[in-house]
Amino acid sequence: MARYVWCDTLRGHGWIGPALCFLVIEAIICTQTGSVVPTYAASAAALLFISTWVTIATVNNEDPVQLSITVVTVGNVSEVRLAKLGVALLMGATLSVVGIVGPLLTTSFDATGADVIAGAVAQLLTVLTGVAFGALLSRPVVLKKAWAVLLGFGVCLATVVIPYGPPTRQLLVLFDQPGEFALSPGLLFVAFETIGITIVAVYVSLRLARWRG
Amino acid sequence: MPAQGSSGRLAGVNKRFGRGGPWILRDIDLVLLPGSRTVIVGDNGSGKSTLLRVAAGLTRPTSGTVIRATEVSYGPERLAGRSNFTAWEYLGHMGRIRGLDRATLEARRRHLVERLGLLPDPYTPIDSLSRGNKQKVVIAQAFLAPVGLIVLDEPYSGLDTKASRTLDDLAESERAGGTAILMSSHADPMGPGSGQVCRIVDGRLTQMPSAGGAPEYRRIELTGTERSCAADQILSTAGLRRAHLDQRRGVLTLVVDVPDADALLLEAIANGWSVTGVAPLPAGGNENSGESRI
Repeated sequence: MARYVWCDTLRGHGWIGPALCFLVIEAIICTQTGSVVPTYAASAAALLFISTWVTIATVNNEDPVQLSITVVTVGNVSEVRLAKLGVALLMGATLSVVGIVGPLLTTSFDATGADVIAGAVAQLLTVLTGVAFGALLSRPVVLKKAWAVLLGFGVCLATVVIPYGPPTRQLLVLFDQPGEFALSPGLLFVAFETIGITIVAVYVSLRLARWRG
Repeated sequence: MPAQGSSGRLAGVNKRFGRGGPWILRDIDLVLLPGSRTVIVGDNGSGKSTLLRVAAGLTRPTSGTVIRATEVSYGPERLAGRSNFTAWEYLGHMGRIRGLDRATLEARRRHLVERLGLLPDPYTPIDSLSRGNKQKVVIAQAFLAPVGLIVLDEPYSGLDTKASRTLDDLAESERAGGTAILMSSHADPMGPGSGQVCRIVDGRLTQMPSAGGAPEYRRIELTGTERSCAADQILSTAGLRRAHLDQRRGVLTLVVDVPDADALLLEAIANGWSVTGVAPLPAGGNENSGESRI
């Protein structure tokens, strides 16, 4: 199942737009010098939007008629949806590798091991949040592409700008504090919060997908 | 919910889209017996596709119960949208999802594309195929692996005569193996092999007489012990032509008119019998010969 979704998604080209967009953002933010931490923070914030986009593109990639065959063949709409979300997570994680390694290779940032670990954790958390948002914004929960884009942008922006907005705003605040926070209680709290949000969002999306048929 | 004794069953199914929408399906009762072929006929927009989607498990009924075989395959009316695969690749993926091993998958998909006459070849992207050839891909994936129930929405639309005949052969072959076939059609099917024909009008299903006016029968085999399973009610079911009880094996064999087969099956299951076989018996056959009544 995962192999089918992976092949279908890669050939669908829906991932190219967000992937190129992320590379452009990386190219722009990697021109700074000094500590790598602010760059990682910016990458994490960007990955929230990009991951939401990738997830919507992945889940919506298969034509609805073809999807109906897949669902009956697999025997379970939830299994198909989970496979698509898994592929979206894998794509987001691949982009986060670019977000972590890219700045180290292209410019002379000051980076400690703790900075890299913290950056990786933060980016994976925003990727996970993007998958959660994308699950709620893709078919058959949100049918119209325009609404999905509008709602996706609004929700992602809200978690970045609203004070204490989980998890992006909280991560940005943590990154802004001096000192290493790779294993800080604050980061651990955000991680648990993100995993909780993701589980709830994916569960709700699975229920809605089954309900809407 | 998996079906017991049948490949699928819809009981008291109603469907409407939205709270205030019109009823698309009303009080649908349908039993899909192993080895049976059921054709739903009706006008455009009469609810045929919705009924098939409900039977396949793609659409939830507003009310009522749907019980189906564990393994179901589904062929929609046509692949209208974009596809990212060639027919060969697509059938490969569907076969792997079905759990077919490599050798079986290779043999099965080659057999299907050759029999259906996929043109120009199976390595052409599905997007580039004509409507009829896309329909062949839909049919091929539905017949890739053995399943309990095959649901086909307007399978003959867009098919040439040869491919239509091949579809009939494939369906007959699967029926012989105990698979139930449920399909829809605009036109009333002709011929004795049409099976059970039901017309959907105003969301309600009515069973049609079999094609050509010739009676068709169903041979039903039940197993159980006399002590735990009552036979009296079954033997008083309307449409029963013949009954034979093999006491040593505990097998009760019945021949019944097709329109009454569903009621008899339900009665048998309710009385504790297990359905071990259901097969069509051609019209004009030996429905009254040979075995004696109990």
